Amino acid sequence: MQQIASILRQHLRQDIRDFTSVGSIGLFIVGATFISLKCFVTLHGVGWIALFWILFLFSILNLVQNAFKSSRTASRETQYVYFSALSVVIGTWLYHFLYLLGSALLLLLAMTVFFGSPISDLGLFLLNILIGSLGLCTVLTMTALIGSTVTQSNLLVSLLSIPLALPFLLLSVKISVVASGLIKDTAITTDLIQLSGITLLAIAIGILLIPTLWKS
Amino acid sequence: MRILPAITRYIYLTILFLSIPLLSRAESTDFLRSTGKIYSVVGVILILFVVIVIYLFSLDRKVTRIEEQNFDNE
Amino acid sequence: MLRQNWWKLLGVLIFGYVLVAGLLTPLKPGITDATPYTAVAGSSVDINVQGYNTHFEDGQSQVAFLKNRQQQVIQANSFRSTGNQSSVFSFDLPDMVDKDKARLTLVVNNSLDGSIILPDAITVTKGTGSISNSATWMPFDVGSLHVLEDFRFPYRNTLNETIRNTFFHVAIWFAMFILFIVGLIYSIKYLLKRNLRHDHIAAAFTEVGIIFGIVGLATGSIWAKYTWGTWWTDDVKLNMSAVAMLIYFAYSILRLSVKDIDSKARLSSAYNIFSFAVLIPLIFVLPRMTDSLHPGNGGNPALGGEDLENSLRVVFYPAVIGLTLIGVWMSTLVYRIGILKDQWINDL
Repeated sequence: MQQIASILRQHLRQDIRDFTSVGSIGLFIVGATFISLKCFVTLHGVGWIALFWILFLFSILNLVQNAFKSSRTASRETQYVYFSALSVVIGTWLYHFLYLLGSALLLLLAMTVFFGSPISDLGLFLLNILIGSLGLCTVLTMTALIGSTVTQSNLLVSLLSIPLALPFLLLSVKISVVASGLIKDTAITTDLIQLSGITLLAIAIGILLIPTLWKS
Repeated sequence: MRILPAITRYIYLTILFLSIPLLSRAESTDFLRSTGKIYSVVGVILILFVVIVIYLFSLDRKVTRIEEQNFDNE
Repeated sequence: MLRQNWWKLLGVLIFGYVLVAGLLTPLKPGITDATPYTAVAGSSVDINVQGYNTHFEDGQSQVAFLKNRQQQVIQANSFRSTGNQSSVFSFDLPDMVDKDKARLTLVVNNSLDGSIILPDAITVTKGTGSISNSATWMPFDVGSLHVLEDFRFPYRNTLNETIRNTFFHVAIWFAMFILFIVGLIYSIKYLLKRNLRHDHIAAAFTEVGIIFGIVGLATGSIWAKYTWGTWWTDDVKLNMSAVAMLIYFAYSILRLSVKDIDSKARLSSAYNIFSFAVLIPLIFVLPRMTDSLHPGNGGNPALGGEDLENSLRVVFYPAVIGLTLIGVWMSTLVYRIGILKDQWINDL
């Protein structure tokens, strides 16, 4: 537990010391939203939701690619000596989760400012973002871990993670559409249960696979 | 660089199977719909057959290459 | 040689049987269209029926009925066939007393075709015309009808002959899943035992599974073009199969981009297991919970529980087994090539 907290602290301290990654993601989100405003002029309903999730996916893809590189946190060898594999990965996973939530909220803010918001049920939408981010960050952490031992991993990580992210995105988009009030769906709880179900399954399998992936 | 051949192989296959219906459609739009759409079943079987045969050919080529390399080593 | 390879021969023979039985067995006769779709109660109506594989002219002792929900019928008082595929049946519709609207099922029966049924062929609305009160509903006497006892595939509207795709398109998806599951099992085995051969087996089965998946997508596309009019629609089953294929493409690209043999095996096995865990709900849960245009869903025809008729099963299950055996054969070839390549690299 202490190790996990320590890894998380290392990640956060690194971001405070070197503002590049936080700044670039923030700039990406605001910039991309502004460009979309220029292109679409107005946007509501399904288009808004689609744009939201696409921008979200691409903003976080940048984040994960360097997560397990030795330039971040302590070097790989040091981590190997002082921390267990599980705590490094879970620490990074938590860090990703915080980041995903942060960028989702920033994106929501930016899109609401520029386009206005079609979301009528904000509570449901936020819950959706919460569960969706949890699932996405599991997938992204796992693929980043797989890609970390490969040279030139940037392309590979996005290649591996986009297909795996699709199931989560499909469900999240569906729930978002319901949250915006475009479709009345009484079975929304089953959708939420499904989304959390895949997320839990992904987390469970991920934890099982961490030891084999960490050794190198 | 070894990614490239695999990608081209899939693209090649994709283009190939998409072109079969396009070619037959060029002859007559309703050909595949005639007699209870039986010709679309024929098209399905053709695709199955053609893809498997192409795949077998590519396997054949791989084996030949390995054989040649072994031969060169000796 | 035959002692070791009997299953390859078996696979090919089974597939040959599927080709012959799947293509030569005729469909049951069916009605493609019956006009008009509506009529007024208490009038007489001429229903123009277009048949498929029917014998309206050659069939002996032909009778036609309109059946209501209470299993009561009115019999056609005359018919005039213009060829085996088309006929006009004249009915006198009785007055309706209790309801405003009734959907009637058309049943045509003759000695060659047995009973041909078109559910909800015509909608009768309450009307004023009262030409013949002599027409009344009678109980449906099934005993006197002819029965078709040949071995035939069922006729379904819009599917027509493409119901035969069950043996090729649907069967190849099933075979693909069996191959992917075998690949998954060997990935798990590799992570437990660290035997490189297991990884090679997993890779081989997955590669052939991908080929089968491409065939599945392509054949589905063709069918969709000539049934729905588009190559691709936004449908749960189609989306899920596309996602599955993307994941396995990513798997094979991961294998190609890692050079070191051991870490390649480790990473790709882990990716295979992880992606399968994400896929399970997609493949097995979502399509069952969402409405779909794809056959084999809800009230739609073709595969799925009550919808898969016995005559289709007789060919469909062998088709799955045959295609799986052929897939296993192809996988063993890929596996042997992989092993040879590894040995060659070691020799250098």
